[in-house]
Amino acid sequence: MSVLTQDLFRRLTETPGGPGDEGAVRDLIAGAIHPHVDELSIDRMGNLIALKRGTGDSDLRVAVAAHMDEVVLFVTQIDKDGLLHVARSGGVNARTLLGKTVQVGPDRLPGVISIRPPHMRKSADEAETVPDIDDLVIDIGAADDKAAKAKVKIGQRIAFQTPFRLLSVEAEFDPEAPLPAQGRISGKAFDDRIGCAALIELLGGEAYPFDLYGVFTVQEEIGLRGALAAGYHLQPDVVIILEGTVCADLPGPPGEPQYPTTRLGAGPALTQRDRSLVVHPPMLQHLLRTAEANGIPYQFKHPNIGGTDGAGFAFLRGIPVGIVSTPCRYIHSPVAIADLSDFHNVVALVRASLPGLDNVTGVRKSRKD
Amino acid sequence: MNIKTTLKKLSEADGPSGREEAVAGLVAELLEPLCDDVRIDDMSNVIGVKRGWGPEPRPQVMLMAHLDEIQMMVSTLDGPFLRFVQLSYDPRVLVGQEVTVFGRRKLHGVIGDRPPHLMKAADRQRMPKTTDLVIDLGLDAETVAELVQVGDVALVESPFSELLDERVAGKAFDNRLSVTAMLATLDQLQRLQHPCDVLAVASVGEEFNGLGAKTATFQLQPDIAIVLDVTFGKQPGAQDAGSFALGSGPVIGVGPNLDGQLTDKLIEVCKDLEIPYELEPLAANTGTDAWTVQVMLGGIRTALVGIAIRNMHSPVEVTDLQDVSRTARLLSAFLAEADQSLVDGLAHHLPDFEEERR
Repeated sequence: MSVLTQDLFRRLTETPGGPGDEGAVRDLIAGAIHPHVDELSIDRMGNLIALKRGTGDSDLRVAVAAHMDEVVLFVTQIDKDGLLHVARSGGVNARTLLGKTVQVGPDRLPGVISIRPPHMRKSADEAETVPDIDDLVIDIGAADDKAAKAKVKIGQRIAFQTPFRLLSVEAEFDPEAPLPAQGRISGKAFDDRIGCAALIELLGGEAYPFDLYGVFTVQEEIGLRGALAAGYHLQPDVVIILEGTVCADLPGPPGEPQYPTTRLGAGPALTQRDRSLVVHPPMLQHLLRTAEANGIPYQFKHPNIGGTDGAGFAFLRGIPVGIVSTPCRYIHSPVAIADLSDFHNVVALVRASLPGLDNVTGVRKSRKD
Repeated sequence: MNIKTTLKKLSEADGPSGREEAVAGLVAELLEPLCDDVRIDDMSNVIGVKRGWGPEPRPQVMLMAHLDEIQMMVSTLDGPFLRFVQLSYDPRVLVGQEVTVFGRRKLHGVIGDRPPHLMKAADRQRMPKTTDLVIDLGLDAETVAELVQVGDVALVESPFSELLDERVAGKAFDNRLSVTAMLATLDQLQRLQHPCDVLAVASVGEEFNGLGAKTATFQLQPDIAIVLDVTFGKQPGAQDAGSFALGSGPVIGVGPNLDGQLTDKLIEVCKDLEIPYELEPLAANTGTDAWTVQVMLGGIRTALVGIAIRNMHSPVEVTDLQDVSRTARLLSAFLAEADQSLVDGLAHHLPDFEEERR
């Protein structure tokens, strides 16, 4: 049975949760998974750790991790006109900001990112200039600074306000139903709530041979901060990272070579190396052999793009890491698009790969047994 | 404790990143009468422990202020002149600056400039880059080669000056000013009871890679950390968001690098004691030891308290000493309340599933 209903997925993506402010997302996930796991705890960084006890056939310590945080804006100043000035917390794509709707702070106050009318442009270049974040203001409709300060505090996070949608002509949104097998979806924060969703699925269902730690991490987007702490205190033997990753299978300027990183609908994206980590080669082999044995499509993510919590987990003890991602177009912007078959295949591939981890070279190397 | 004379001593001491021994010895001396136990570790971190009252185990609260200062380093001997590398200064402050070079012995030098009479008109309108500058020790090439080698460190030389009222100027206020605030906090604690053990750390290497913050935190395993560092004072040209008027009180950092509840606790103390304070929004990396400390040992609840200075990373950093005594009042009052229940109260909680079900 699927733990993940359409409504849970909708709430996962729509709930705001910037780096260091993951509480609402964490509460939502904890509420969804607590009937399916044996222990739930929150560590000092705010990482949510779910222990799903194994059958006892293996004493391996396995972690599967996805990050809860998303890239956001961050209130730095409230000016005399009641407008909010911001900084970026995580790598928000500055080209996508003007004229978007946002939600401010824990009360999810609606706001808009202002843009001056094109009539008032100072020069023709302005239309081609990426806005400087320091020049952006968020309008929450406050008459003045007093009205704004009654609602908003310095340091609060500002997330995009984007509804979750099924981009399908056949299926209608059905809150209680599982996600359809096919079709595409759109919404915000797919990086990495789509990984969180996959991890929620993996925590439902039958026990694995070993204890499985489902780790929902904090602060990935500002430097793999939750994973650095969790890797230290959990001491797993092996980690699989679930990500929503870069996908740019788009038409580019005519004649220029394209470098899409991943392609939508081509299956789970396996990382060989990114900017943060070289994936443990036996882990990569294990993942792709499992895919082939089970008829699950897969693709390789182009190397040296992005980084993941895998580097955070591996930092101190050098444990083997595998990275399995769902390609998501337009991440780090107000709205992303993913393919449901990729998502389901990520869940299927990781589920099929887990039992064989014991035999992957190097996985038991750091243990004293 | 006299804040002004303490800061003067610390500001004028030498402590480039990686060569903190001299200033470490001075800080250890100043900590001695204020702590139960003072030591200098192998990295030159200075660690003072002031034990709290009541039975063990007591909460361990770490205060951390970095000891090191920014530096230049000799890259080439160019005849009698020294070429150097540096990343931290705006090169414009170095032109016409007196420096100290730490060769075989301490040497006095000048970073000079050609007289305007000899410059082309275009050069008069342009500032030199670091690579265009040389240190002149006033010695011949042979003597220079005997006394100086590549890799020797140089510091700006700048005397401590008293300005109007409580304002002062000097070098290395980043971060000897916070070290002074830490000492002033311990001084106030002499007259207060505190339930926690206070671990006062003057850390090395912050201006390099946070080495001291890592090694000291790993040794001490604190329950809570409060990092003290300087922040930007308001001055012409400084951005409005993220710069603070001198004399406006301690500047408390807010953002993901810092524990929200611990931060709120500090704000509460300011409100209770009517200490003026400011909030500094820090959207990601705070650029302080707090960034290093927070993720150590499985996660440490960390807060950041700043003091505003103008002209940061220059030989003439300016501050208002009222902010040092206010920071000490804030921290000592917080430490007087920092018991086990405060530490336990910082934990994150799961939602009440049973309540939800009913």
